[in-house]
This record gives sequence, C-alpha cells and structure tokens, in this order.
Amino acid sequence: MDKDLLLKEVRALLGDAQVNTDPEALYDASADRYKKYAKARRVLDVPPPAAIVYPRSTEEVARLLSFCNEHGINVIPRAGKTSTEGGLENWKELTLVIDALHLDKILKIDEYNMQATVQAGVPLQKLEDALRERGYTTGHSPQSKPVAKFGGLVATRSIGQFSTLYGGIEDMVVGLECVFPNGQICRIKNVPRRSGGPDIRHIAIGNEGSLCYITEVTVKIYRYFPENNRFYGYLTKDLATGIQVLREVMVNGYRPSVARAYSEEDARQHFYHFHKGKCVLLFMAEGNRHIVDATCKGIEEAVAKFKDGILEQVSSELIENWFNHLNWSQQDIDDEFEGMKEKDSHDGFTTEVSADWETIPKLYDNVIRRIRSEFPRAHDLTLLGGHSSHSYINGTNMYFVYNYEINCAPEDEMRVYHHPIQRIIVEETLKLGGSMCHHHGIGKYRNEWTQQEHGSAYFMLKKLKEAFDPNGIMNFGAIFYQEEGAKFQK
Amino acid sequence: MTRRVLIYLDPEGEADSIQLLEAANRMYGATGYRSYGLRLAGTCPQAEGLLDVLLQVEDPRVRPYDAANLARCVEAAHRKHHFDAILIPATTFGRMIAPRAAMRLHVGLTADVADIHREKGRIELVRAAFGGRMRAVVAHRGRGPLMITVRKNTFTLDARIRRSTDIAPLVVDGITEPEVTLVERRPAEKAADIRESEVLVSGGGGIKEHFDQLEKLARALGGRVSASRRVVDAGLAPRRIQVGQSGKTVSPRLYIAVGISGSIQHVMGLKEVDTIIVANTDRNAPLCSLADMVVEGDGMEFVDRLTKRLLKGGKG
Amino acid sequence: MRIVCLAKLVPDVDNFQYDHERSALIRENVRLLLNPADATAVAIALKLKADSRAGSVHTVTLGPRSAMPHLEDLLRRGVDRATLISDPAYAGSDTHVTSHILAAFLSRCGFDVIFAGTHTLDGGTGHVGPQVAEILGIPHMAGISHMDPESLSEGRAQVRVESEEASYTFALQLPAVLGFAYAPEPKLPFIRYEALKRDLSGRVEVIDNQALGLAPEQVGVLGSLTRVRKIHVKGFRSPNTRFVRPDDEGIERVYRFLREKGFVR
Repeated sequence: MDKDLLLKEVRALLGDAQVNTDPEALYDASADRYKKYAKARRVLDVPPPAAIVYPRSTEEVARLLSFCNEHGINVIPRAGKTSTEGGLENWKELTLVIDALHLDKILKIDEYNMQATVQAGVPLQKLEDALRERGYTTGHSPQSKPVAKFGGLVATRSIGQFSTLYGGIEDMVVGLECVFPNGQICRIKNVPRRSGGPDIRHIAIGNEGSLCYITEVTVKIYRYFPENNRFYGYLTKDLATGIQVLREVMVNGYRPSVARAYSEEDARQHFYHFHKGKCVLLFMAEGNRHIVDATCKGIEEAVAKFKDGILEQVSSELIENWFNHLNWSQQDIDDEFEGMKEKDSHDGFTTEVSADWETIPKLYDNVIRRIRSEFPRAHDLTLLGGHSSHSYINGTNMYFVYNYEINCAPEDEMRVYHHPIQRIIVEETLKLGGSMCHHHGIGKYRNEWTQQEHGSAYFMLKKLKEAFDPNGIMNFGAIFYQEEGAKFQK
Repeated sequence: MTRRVLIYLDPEGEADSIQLLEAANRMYGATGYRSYGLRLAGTCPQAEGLLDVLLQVEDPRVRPYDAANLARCVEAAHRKHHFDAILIPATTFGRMIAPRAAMRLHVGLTADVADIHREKGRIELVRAAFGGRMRAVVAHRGRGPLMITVRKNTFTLDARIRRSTDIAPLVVDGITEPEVTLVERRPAEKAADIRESEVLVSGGGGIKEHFDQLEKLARALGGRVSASRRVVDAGLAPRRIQVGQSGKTVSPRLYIAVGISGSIQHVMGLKEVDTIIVANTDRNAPLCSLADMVVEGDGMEFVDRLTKRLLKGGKG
Repeated sequence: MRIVCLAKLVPDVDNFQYDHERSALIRENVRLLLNPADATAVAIALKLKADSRAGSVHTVTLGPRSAMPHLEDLLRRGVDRATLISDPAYAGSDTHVTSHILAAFLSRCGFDVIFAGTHTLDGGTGHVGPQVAEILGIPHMAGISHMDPESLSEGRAQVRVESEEASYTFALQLPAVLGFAYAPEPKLPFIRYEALKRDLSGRVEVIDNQALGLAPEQVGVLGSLTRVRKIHVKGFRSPNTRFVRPDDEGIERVYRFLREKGFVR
C-alpha cells in the first residue's frame, strides 16, 4: 500500500474532516519534545507520518486499528503531545498518528464512590478543574498537567508532583477501555480490588502505544484541602543529607505530597532567589488537617535528626511561591520552542532513574563523576545536577538534569550532547541494579537497554508484544528495540 | 599640600567631563586640589570659570577621536605639571585615550570607576566587574598619577565653585598625522531596540491592564518600556519588547520592574543590569531578591507618584 | 591578509559559584566561555575568510590550560591556528601586563590586522586593545559595529562605531587593532559532527614565558600596576535590598536613590 491509497482508504473510513494532512501538522507530528531543538531549527531527520486522524469513538479506533493491522501500517497513538522520550517520534514511511482530540468527554464524576471516568483525550487539567469545583482532586499533577491528556498519562505510566502521597497513575487507575490491533475492544471493570488472576490493567498502563490504544479511563478521586497545605524548605550541605531526610520521613510512615532534594546546580535553576549555592530540601504536606499536622511533625523530627547537614531553614512563603508557579502551560512549551529558534542552548534535558535508598547517592556520584571526566563536551555544560522528587518506602528517584550550550550543527545535537550523557546515566543505573526509566517511559531512545532493564523478565514483555501486536504495527520503536530504527538513534 | 588633578574634557561628552570635578572632590576634598582641564581649542567652553587651568591643544592635527595623538597630549601635560591624578570620562573616545596614555606614562589605570571614597587617608577606587555582580576595590602601585576613567552619570557635581580660569596653550611634541580619519558623523537615533536602552521600565502580569501607562515613567527617565511574557501573551505588548528566555536579553543600567514576580525565564533575560528596582505587592516575589530597592505595594501607584516626583525635579 | 584575533576565555558569569560566607568567587572548576565580543570578532574574521577576503585566521589567547578545549573548538569552526600563551608566572597579571605579554607575542607572529572584542564579560576594562596598539605603535578603534569588507583589500579599514551621541564612520590605516562590539550576528559557524574527530595536532600551540622571555618582575602580580584589593559580591538575596512603600516617604527615597545613581539630574 502506498501513501495515496492509504489516505484514500482512511478518508473513506472516517471522512475528510477527521483526516489531517496539513504539512505543518505532519512536520510537527514527526517528532516530540525529545527532538525539540532539531524540530525548532527545522532539521528533523525522521519522516513525517502520512496523516493524523481523529476518531470520534472507540468503534472508529477499532476500525482504524484493524485496517492498519491488515495492511501493516504503523500506528502512533497520541493525546496531549507532551511526550519527552521519542514515544511520538515517527520512524516509518507509512504511519498514521491516531490523535484522541475528539475523545474529549468527561463521562462521569462519581462523588459517592470517589471515582471519575473520562475519555482518553480529556486534558488532566479539565478533569482537575471540574473536580476542584466540587472539592475534589485527581491527586495527579505532572508538570505537563495543563496540556497532557489521560490517554498519554496512562500509556506512559506518568507520575505527578504529589506522587509521594497519591502515587503514580498506576495507583489511580481503577479500570479502563482499550483497543487492540485486531480491533478487539476490552473494558476492564471498575472495582475496588480483586484477585481475578494477574492484574491485566498493567498490560495497558505503560504500554506506550506499543500494544493497544487506550480510549477511556476511570481514576480515583480525592478530597481536596488546599487550606491545609503546609510548606517546608531547607538548605542542606549536600544532596546525600537531603536524601537521608527524605528516607527518614518515608520509613517513619509519613506521606508528604511533595518531598524533594536538589543538588546545588539544579537548585540554582529553580530557586535562584534563595539557594545560596547550596542544596535544597523541600516538603509539602497536604490532606486533612490531622494528617497534615502529623506529617509536619514527622518532617520536623526528621530534619532535627539530621540537623548537622541542615544549613538553614527557608521561609515557607518562598516555597509556596515556587509551588504556585510550577506547571507548564502550552504557552510555556510554545515559548521554549520560539526561544530555540534563536538560541544555541538546550536547557532542561533530563533523564530520570530510580533505585533503592542505599544505591541512589552512589549512583548520583558515579554519574556526575563519569560525565565530568568522560563526556567530550563537558566544557559546554552550563548545568549538571539532579533532584529526587518521588519517594517510596524502599527508595526514590533521581532526575538528572543537564543544560548545555550547543556548539554543533542543530541536527547533530542529540549525538553530540544528549546521547553520550544519557548513555552514562543509563549504564551506571543498570550497573547498580536501578531502573533507567522512572516515569517518562522508555520511549524510542532507551529501547536498546529494554532487555537489560528487564533481565530474564524481558521474556514476559516480549510475549505481550508477540501476542497482542503480532504484525508489529503499534508504535514502531517504542519500548522494543528495532534494528531498522537504529539509524535514527545514532 | 595642594594636589593637581587633570581632567580630560572630551568634546563628545562635555557635560560628563565637567562632572569629573566631583570625582576629584571625593579624592582630595573640594578645596584640596588645583584643577586642570585638557581640551582641544574651541571645545568645552563651559569649563571656563569652573576649572583653575585649561591646557589647550591647538595643533589642528589632533582630533577628538584620535586616541594615539591625544594620549601624547595627556603625557605631555603630565610631564609638565606632574599631576596627582588624571581623570578621563569613560566616553567612547575617553576609553580609548586613557589606556594608551597610561601605557605611555607607565602607570596603572582603573576603568569605569563607580565610586570613590577615602579610607584612612587612602583613596579607594571601586569599580563594577563581572557584569555588575561584583564590585572590586582597586589599588594602584608604583609612582605616577592615579589614573582612572569614570563611568557616565556616576558623580553629580552639585556645588559649582566659580574659579578664575587660566587658559594656557599646551605644546606637544611628536604629534603625527592622524592614522584614523573621520569619514562621517551622524547623530545617534534614540534606541528603538530595548537591548540598547540604558533605562527600562518593565511591566508584568501584576499591572498588565495598565501597561500602557508605564510609558510616561519611562519617558521621565529617558528610557524605554519593556514587558514580561504575561503582558505579551495577553496581547498588550508586542513580542519585540519582551524580556526573558523567549524574548530579548537586556543589559540596561537601570531596570524598573513593575508587577513582575521574576520567573527564572524572565531573569535569564537580564544580563549585567546595574540597578534593579522592583515594585510588587508581594515582597517574597523572587525578583525582589535581586533588587537594590523593593517598593512593596501597588505598582501603578508607584508609577504615578514616581513620575510626578521626577517631573517636579529638584532635590526635594 | 592574515587576521590575528585576540580571544579571551572568561568565567561564565551566569554560572558562578560564590562562597557566600567569604564573599568570594570560587574559581576552581569555574566554567569558561569564549568572551562574547571576542566571539563576534572571530566570527567576522571567519566570514571574511569564507568570502576569500582573508587568507588565514589565527587566534591568540592568554589564559589557563583549561582554555584548551575551547581553542580546539575554534579550530573545528574554521580557525587556522590557535596560540595559547600560558604560564603560571602570568597569573594575576593586570591589563598593563597582559597587553605587554600579548604585544610581545604579536610583534613576532606576523599579522596584517588584529581583531578583538571591545569588552570582556569579566573585568570589562577595554584596556587591552588600545594598549596593545600603543605598544605596537598602530592605530586602534573600539566599539566597532560594522566593518566594510571591501576596504580591507585597499590596506585600510572603514568601520562604523555607534556611541550614545553619534554614529561615526572612520577609516584606519592598517595594520591596526579593531575592537568589535558584541553583536548577535554573525555567529561563529557550527562545529560539524565530523570535525569533532579531526586531528588538530600541529595547529594549536602553547607558549610560555620561556619563549617570550619577559623578565619575571615584569609579569604577573609583580609587574602589575593595579591590584584588586577586595571584591564585594553583589550576590542573590542581597542583604542591602531596601524596602519602601509607594507613599510620599518611599517615593522620595526612590527618587533620591535614582539621583545618587545618576539616573536623575
């Protein structure tokens, strides 16, 4: 099948209005935020998809998928477009991007049973706003909240800034509906819990569009008590101290909604107005008053226990002010894109990993040391550091951040700067038994390590792909390594 | 002992040159020195009556932009009068003349002096470095005059002591045919680009409905208006006057931010800003941490009242 | 036409580490960057070369060994030769000494014109260009915003200088030192991916005082005529921030502050 025939068939399937072949939109759809710099400079090396299509119902999704399955057309499922790891990047000449634009309805907010059901194209912000009006919250707040949509959030196993209290998206999803390449529509029902065999929700959650298309999601909702929010900030003598305090709070059973420790350089870019060149540790307690009181006590006790490493306390108003300006809007994303057209620098690249408490500080030191000594363009780094922002009883994450001046041609940015740094981070993480992908998904550029990430359990992952997507039409290159895509990775 | 101070009177910055008398006052006290001016014949008439001696260069080959020959003139004046200090305005050409003259005299030179004070009988020269983020106290070594260039608008000469002025021609050996010739001179146009403005009055989300009223304050200060992203996004100002990561990077000497909280993206657009005044209702707004002065309260009230005060003028 | 560019590596002003207790700059591991105005000068030189108006571009840098990766990058961008003048004895040199060291090298390296940035981000005195010109006995112009490329072939340089008062066009006899103001354009050419692996040996040289033969008492702290006695860091969260309200008293304080600073006459 060639492109013209494909478009003809798809138009026949959906009607013209639901098929977008505008060249600008296709250029935009050929890559995501992973290659934002090359995209802004218009030097993308990946092919554009044939079309972006906008189904209006689960049934239309099913028809599209079976059509593509039959004809071997690559499908990229898409919702809010805030993907950062190449999950939305196109590596195939014949690709349809299936965008959840019209799957935009909040289907039900069930206050008594504390759950809400939405279609995949509903922006998180839209549900959050609807819930807030009634005194509830989703508890989910990734930085992309104003833009990201439910289909993408679930498909990438997204996590939010309050995860330490509410958990990641996998802790929130009650049930969902998804469509497999053969057109099979599956609805997983909404129950509090069950022991009905393996938890099949996890076949859809985090599949990154490589197994199925998520069309509908039901999530838990929570009472919202903004008036109880309390903030704590400290300067610490090193990152290890910050992580020790985080651990202390967690292992004592407290669940602050925000619990973060920043390295010096990373603190500088977020807290220029108070960090004084030191590491920053901060907490936010939320929820009902009694829990907040107890959590605050727990934080204060943990800080007191490690007081030798605490340099000073920061006014909580400064932390609150920071908190109130945290999220990205579409305007921020557009602005950054505009800035990249002119400026030869890349700010805010990240690689996020996780490991247990005793491993994280070692991992951090190893990575920083290796980048400083091995990365050939270390002299172009304007920032190298990281922060821990999602803690669990047994460990935490590390969000490595790096900014650099770009002195090479825009099309070479990835292979000259990002990839060598990312490689060091992933290698060091896997060496120490951590996970190379805490919450952005594997995407397309870490797939060469998927097998190593999962070890002997990769067998299970591979079988899922073989079983659900035998023709390999779902998001070519995401999660699973593909020889044919390697040319875009180098 | 009466000191001797030489001031170079730059024809391209006559008013700024005269202000250097105040720098000399700071060094030696208003009556502690004898002031010498170095001028080209036919320039800087307002120095008469304010300086004690005017050394006048009458060789027509010496032009105001010819730093090599002017450095020879400074040298010749010093060889004859043995100054304790030589002050040169940090004008476009003063900045070229002073280093050459210092090299000829084999003396140290402190550039862009921003402050002078005396401590235990010693003169302390303060200059900004690293884009205004640091102030360095500089000491000179060796014999020879204390030689400095002084930033524009640094000192204001308030008390103008009338003096009877001797005008004496300065004979300079070794003047050469100029190696630099002026082809054209056109008066500068007022900077249309916010990046070229020395004073910016910048408005943010906190006052965005009143953004158009900032112009009068900017005008009273001889500057321009700029905007934060929120104002531009709201369609109340054009993108070309936006300061910040996605806008322009600016380096004014004075930045007055009204109703701008100061995201890191905004602050990334501020480079080498000397003085920052922030008007904001929230004293915890991040930008306040960079400010020399914070006006805590309604931004537009500040704008209105300060504009009125500026128009009234005087010492108050 | 042989163009020599004076190229200084300066500490990255935005990424300073301060020792807030001692109010001092932490110089260890400080990131260096090519001074922006010098980058403009090199970019203009490379453009002249690309347009066949210049034969070679040679950069000369006085600085620490850690400048090396940056100089190698300049070669990757199209500079023909880079010289790093580096000697521990030169540490602490003021602009007077710096000019003598550079002039000692320049007087024997051969050039038709010298390009430089007018100002550096760090000290920012603007002394080195005119002082090198004075020692070499050649003309100098600072603050150049534009140069007529045609004029070079006639043995002179026609340049435009913008000041607050006026826009001037000057003609200078060559050889001369031309000091360029920072400008966003032209930019330095990109480093191509392939150039990252190119062998640069033989094109970058390091020269020390043994080669230049300046007397020890003429260089470094000993030879300097000025010395920074104290540094006061105007850091973030300045303890000197004054708070006022927009009432009569507050406005008067703002007004007086503006007067003190010379913004109001």
